[in-house]
Amino acid sequence: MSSAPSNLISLNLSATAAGHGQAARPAPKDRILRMEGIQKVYGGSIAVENTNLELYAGEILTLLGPSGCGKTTTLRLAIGLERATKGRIWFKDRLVDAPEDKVFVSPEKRDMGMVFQSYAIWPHMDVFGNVAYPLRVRRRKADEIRREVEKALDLVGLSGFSNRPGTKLSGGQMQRVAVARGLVFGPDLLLMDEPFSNLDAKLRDQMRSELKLLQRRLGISVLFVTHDQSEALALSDRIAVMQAGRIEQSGDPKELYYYPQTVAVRDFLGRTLNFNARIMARAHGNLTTVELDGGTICDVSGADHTSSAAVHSRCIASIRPEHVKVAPRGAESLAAGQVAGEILTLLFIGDRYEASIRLGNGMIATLYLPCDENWAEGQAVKLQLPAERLQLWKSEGAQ
Amino acid sequence: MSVLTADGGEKQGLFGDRLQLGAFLYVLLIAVIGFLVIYPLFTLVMTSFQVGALGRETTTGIGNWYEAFRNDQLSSAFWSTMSLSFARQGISLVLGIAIAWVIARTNLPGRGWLEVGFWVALFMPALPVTMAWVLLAGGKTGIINMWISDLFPIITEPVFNVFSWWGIVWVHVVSSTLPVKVFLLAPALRSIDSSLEESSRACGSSMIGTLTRIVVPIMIPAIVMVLLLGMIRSMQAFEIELILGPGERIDVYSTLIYRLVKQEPPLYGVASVLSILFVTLIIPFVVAQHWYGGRHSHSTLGGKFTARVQDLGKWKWPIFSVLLAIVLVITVLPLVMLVVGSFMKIFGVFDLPNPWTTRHWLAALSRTDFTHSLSNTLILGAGSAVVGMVLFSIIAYVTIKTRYAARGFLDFLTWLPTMIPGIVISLGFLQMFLSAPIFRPIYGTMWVLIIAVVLSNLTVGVQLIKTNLIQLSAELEEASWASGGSRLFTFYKVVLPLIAPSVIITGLQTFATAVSVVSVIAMLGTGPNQPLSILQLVYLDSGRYEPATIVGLLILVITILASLLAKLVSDRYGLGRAKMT
Repeated sequence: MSSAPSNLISLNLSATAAGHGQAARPAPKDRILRMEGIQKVYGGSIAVENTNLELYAGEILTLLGPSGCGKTTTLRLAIGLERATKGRIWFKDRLVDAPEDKVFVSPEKRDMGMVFQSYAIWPHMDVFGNVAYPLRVRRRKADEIRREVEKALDLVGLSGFSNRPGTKLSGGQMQRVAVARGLVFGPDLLLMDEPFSNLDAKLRDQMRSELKLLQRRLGISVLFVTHDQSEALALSDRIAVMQAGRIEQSGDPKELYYYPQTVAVRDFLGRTLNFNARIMARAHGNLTTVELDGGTICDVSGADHTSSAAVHSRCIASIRPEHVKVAPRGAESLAAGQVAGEILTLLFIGDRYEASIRLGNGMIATLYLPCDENWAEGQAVKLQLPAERLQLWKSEGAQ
Repeated sequence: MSVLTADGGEKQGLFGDRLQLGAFLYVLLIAVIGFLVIYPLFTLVMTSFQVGALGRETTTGIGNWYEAFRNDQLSSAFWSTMSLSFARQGISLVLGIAIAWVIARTNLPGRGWLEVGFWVALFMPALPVTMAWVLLAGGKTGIINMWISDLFPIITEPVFNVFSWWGIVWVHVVSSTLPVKVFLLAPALRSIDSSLEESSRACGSSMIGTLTRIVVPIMIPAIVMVLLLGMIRSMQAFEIELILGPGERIDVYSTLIYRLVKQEPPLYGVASVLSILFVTLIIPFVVAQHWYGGRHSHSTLGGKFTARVQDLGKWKWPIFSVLLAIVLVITVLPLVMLVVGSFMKIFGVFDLPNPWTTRHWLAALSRTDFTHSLSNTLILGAGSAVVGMVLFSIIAYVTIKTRYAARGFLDFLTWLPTMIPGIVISLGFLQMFLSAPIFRPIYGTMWVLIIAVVLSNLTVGVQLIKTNLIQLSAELEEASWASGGSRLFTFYKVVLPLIAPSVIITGLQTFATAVSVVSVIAMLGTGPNQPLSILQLVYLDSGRYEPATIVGLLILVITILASLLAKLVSDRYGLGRAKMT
């Protein structure tokens, strides 16, 4: 694999991102976890490559990416369940993993809390036994253990469940026990590996907001791993999108959503409509005129990721579906930035319609339509593509 | 093999430098197991090329090989081994599928208890059961034949004779082959989604039609595996053939090897040649089993489902009666025969004024060889169980949960004993002790027998614990490390409690094997370390049925108790608790 430019560059991009970056970034001395040039090789295959990561006190940083992108490996490297093959990891200014310097601190010596995807509730212990385990390992006194466990269970809303066997818990309760076990000894960092993926949708939403509340109350740092973009967007202070073992881009959720820097980030976070197009003209400032395949002329004033490609070269114009304005179409001709379409199917999903619309160029777009209009299948519509919401990308295959 | 595939870059284990001691112990483990498994085979090969009587000057040559092939005993042993194995496997498979299905998937009354009956039968050692069948149908003096000729004076020849080809098949089927089939197939059948059966019924197929058209085809991978495993075990059978074979001059490989060593002068060289041929005969079946198992391991199990039972309707009670009769014949009948036999003045003759006596018991209990053997048996059982539990758990843990290099080789070593018949292990060990003076000090001690028994149980024991360990999610251990628990603390507090049921069952199973085993120690346990099972063989071989009955009864009671205890543990704690993964 070729060596990529350091991912650290993209980490600090937030300041350049049109004011959407977080205003108050904690000073570097509040750094809880720092990974530098981390590589992890299994057998012959590279799981994580040249990854840099910094986690500050009191923030939730989410590693987001499709399965197999190396996000769980990165988490396991942080706690020491895997050993890095290159690079350095510091936890609170203590070097915990550095293969070049022959430094490795085993997971039980790192004092981080961790919540596993399967919760890993020990079935031969009751709730109390599970939560008390980290304290017993640390040889705390019996009355202190009892007090701390009660406190932790209270925190996750499970007081009174002490004597429930580990096997007699629902998914949500196991989840809470796992969180209590991760927090009970007061770590500065909690690692969470897809903790909500085994819960049903409703419970997942509830646990999400509970976790954020809890984290704000305790001021603890959380390194969170998920493949669920809405979970990442809702929960995180910062997100690092991973792809094929590298961090593609990181920043706060809005920044990533509105200003993706790479195709992978764009396609992974939310949906986009992508139109093949050709650059017609470049005006001063940020304005570009393109012709979509099918003949529509559009102005584009959003981000340009084509490295200022020359006029007449091909490109892709993309837009988030929610930014497309759909209106019924009469006999009038189309204005600039408008695409004709026909509603193929219309699904009523409660608060809105989900419509499949065939565009003039044959493309089929899925868009949401408001309920206050009378839409019908077969109806002719026009799609307005606002210039400031359109972004230009390099044409696929023309990299 | 899996040695080089996963984690190529990281073979040190998670904790690298701190596990230097662990790595050393690991190497030691591989060396010891490797030596004990491979060296006896190596000595067999060496001995096969040593021509001349043992203890005198020998030369190297192929005389033994020539001798073995010249003798037509070899080919007749081959045909007997194969025909006996195929016959009883065929019969047991058909019966076993039907019985397992009825037990696992229908509303048969008392099906749980019937399954316990097959479980007990599985544990019942072959020799005492053979003894019971000799009392029942052993030629003219067999109790059944005596009754028949009393009822129909015109019949003078024995109708049922276990000293025959069919007799051998029969005793095998009732004592082990059929119970094994039910024991292995019932759980596999339980794992089939019942909606597959129900949709067949909904399509208009009858219950029998569903069984033959849906259930059996789905079960083919499991059935093939059970059949191959059964062939491997059948070909290695020893004691039943040894007792019942002489009636029709039937010898199989294992008994032929035994006789060659026991005769005067012993022909170790020819026996070694036969042992090597014996192992090569079994290897294709072991290879086939691994190959097939590797290809079809995932094909029967579905995801989440409810296993509803089928209604047998009016057939419920007739089928129940037949199964109950079978269970009684394979478990209670042999036991009762031995008890009754041990208290009768003349076996099977009830019309004496006073047919009962305790004379045999008093005689047996006052014999020193009897009490001595009893204590040997208990030492052998307990010793093998303890050594086995520790060794099997370590091997299972290392192969499943660590990343040491050459784990695959260790795995292979644990599989090797399946393809070595007990009698060959016995001969290999014997020759190891005879040829290498450094092992002499332990020759004739209980340690020899414990090592042989543990080795012969290696595959099953490790497999049992491995099955349990695999179900244990890695995250359960990792959660403990993340919580601050050291590797040792984690093993003690998290891993061990969770695999305890399978470790205990493995221990009980090893204990039961050690108490009843014959072939593995047939050439090793004949001195002061002679246990009950060998004592019984000696009594039987010399025709002293009364003391043999009493010894057999004791072995039977001990193993049945162990089996019931194992069943209790497995039902109480379950092999694989819910929500472990």
